[in-house]
Amino acid sequence: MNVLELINVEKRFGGIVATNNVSFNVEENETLGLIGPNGAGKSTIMHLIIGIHRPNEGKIKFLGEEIQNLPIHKRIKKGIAVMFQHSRPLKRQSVLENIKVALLKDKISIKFPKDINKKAEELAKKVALQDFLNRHSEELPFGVIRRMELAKALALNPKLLLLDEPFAGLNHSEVKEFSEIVNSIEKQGFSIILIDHNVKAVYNMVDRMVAIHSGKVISIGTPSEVISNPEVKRVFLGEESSNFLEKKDNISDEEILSVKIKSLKYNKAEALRNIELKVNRGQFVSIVGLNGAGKTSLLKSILSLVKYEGEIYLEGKALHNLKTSEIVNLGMAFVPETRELFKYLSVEENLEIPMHDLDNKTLKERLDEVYSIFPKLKERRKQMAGTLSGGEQQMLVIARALVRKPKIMVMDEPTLGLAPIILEEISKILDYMHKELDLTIILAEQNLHFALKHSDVVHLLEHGNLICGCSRKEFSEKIGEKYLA
Amino acid sequence: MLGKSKLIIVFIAIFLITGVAPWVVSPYIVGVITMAFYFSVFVMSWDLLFGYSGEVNFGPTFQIGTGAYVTALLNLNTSLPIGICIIGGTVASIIAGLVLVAPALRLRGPYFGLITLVSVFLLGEMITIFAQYTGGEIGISIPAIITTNQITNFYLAWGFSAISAIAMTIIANSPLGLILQASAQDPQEAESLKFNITKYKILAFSVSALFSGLSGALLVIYLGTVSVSLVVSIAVVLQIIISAIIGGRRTIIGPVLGAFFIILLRQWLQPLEQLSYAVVSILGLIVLMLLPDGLISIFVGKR
Repeated sequence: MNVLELINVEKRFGGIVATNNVSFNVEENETLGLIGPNGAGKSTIMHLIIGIHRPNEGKIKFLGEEIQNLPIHKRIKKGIAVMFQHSRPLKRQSVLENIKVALLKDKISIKFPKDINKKAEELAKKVALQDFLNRHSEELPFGVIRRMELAKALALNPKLLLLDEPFAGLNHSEVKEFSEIVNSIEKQGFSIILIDHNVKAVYNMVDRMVAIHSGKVISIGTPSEVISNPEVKRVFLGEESSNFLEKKDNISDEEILSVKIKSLKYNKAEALRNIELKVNRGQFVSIVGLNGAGKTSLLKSILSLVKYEGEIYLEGKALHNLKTSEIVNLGMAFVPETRELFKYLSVEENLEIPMHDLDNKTLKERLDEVYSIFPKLKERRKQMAGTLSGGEQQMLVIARALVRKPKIMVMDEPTLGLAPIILEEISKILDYMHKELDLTIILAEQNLHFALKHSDVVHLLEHGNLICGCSRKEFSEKIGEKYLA
Repeated sequence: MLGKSKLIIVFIAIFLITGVAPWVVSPYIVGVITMAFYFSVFVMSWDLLFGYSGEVNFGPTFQIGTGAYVTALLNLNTSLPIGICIIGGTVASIIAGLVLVAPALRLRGPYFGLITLVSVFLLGEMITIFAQYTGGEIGISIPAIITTNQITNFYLAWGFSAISAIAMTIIANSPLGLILQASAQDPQEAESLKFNITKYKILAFSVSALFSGLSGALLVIYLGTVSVSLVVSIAVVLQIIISAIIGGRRTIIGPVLGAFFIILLRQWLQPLEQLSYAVVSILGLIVLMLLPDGLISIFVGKR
């Protein structure tokens, strides 16, 4: 019997079709993987199921009953529960109290039910939280919060549980711990939809998979069927992602940047220690590492955006006592992970801002130069930056860094949240900047394939330490794919 | 919650200490403290709405003013007994609260805040436009008096403030309070935990309006007069908000401390006349810089 059934569901936001004729079903006791790259429409589908959005066309049936027009809380009462990726738990309350909220009935009451503490403790035990009951959520690591969110979803006693990117942001041991917990609850007689962008992460955990791309279902079936589907392969793995690009042959051995960071601390937590990094002129250097390894901290140190203990020199000039603006004027450009575009200004205005001190003629020339590299941006030059797609925004951030004709480009995860097809485009641009413009590039990346493809030198950043610092061939042999992929 | 038992001790201490005031201080100061009790209920109600259900209400005087004026007008224009006038005012105040719920369900943060601010100006305008009934900017005096005995009046206010504080503390720490806080933190997540948050918002606004409206009604009867500068103007709004912040938000009892701090300080600084507002504000800022969690944190520590 079907627990959930989506029938030709379509959702449009303005002119954009977020999900296009999506149909799939979830059977009793089944764990279904809903997979797709970032921006494929996974979240929209989840929102449609729980009622944050309502579909423009199509039906959603839960236990045979149409629910697409019900408000969220009514659907939850019918037996759907969700664990959000980004949760905002009660900060001033303990873990126990957070779980208690989920156990309360939807009725106005001044007294807590008698057995609520016992029930909350039992739930906490199920997700291995018994040692954290009285701690405040503010002071707890991500992995523990995630488990608390799972306990809250379980408190609803659901027939269908939606897990939204349950592994995002967790470290290795937390991922292992969490998947064990999910495995243990799987056998308790309800269905699960596991939403993830990472096929490998869920491959062994699900009975069936639904792969989506650009709002459409591209494959449904057992994990092995889905993963061998050619379109899925193309979308998820990219076509030639493992092929290295040709190396540039004319890299000088003149040192342009030297970084020596003794320590960088946020309050008591040490984010970086004993970092030594040397970059030669024209080199493409990658720093790879997982979320939270300290990549962003390292890049921000180079630009004096955070305080650190140590010394950094650009062409022999000390940077550690300079302000960010002074460092930028020395020829450093930064492409931040968070993009930091002026959303309500046009593409062209975003590009003009960093050139405020140039005369009109130079400004015009520089604009034409970047437009020749990014013809798409020229097409959209009058459009508000906030309305661009993720890939176009990323190009705009890179273009904005380029207009000042920097010597060094420091880039923080430019691939974040972009579909493989767009990665190809970004990749070509980086290659052009590296080889044709002869820029020195420092790239922080989580996507190892992407980093390896371009780099002359690859460093691994792990728990605040830099390891390896070797050629890409050496890197992939020594540390390589078994670590990050 | 940390220091919950300490909060209760502070609570009892405040009401025991203030309870002996009529036998210790001058009759004039007794009158000031009586005012402070009514004012403290305004601040507590505001704290319940902002601190627990997260609604930035810049218009507490929309409810208070409605309650106060309706009570006064009923008393002046009808022969209904005082009790009925007070109930009428309170009901009107709850209706005023419900009027604010509609935008609160659609707008959040600063946008909702702006609407509430506008509601205060609207009420002020209405009172001016219908000056022949409301007395306009001068206000009106009313015949009703519960008692002329100052000590009885004092204990009436004292008891009302204590009961309001107890009731609101119970609500804040009940399942209801927890659900309100959850929906303030993340409405979508709260609804995904099966809570029909519309219901809780309506309730939060009604409860807040009930207490502040009732307090406004009682204040009018106590003073025998009502005016815009007493229960409607933006100055009153600011005083309420500053009191809550200085006292310590999300504690219910903190706002009582804040209310006393502000009212007594204003009294003490009265020789400075207009300048007293500035001095109160500066002192408020200093308190806030030294004690970001409010005066209450002196007693219960940091939260």
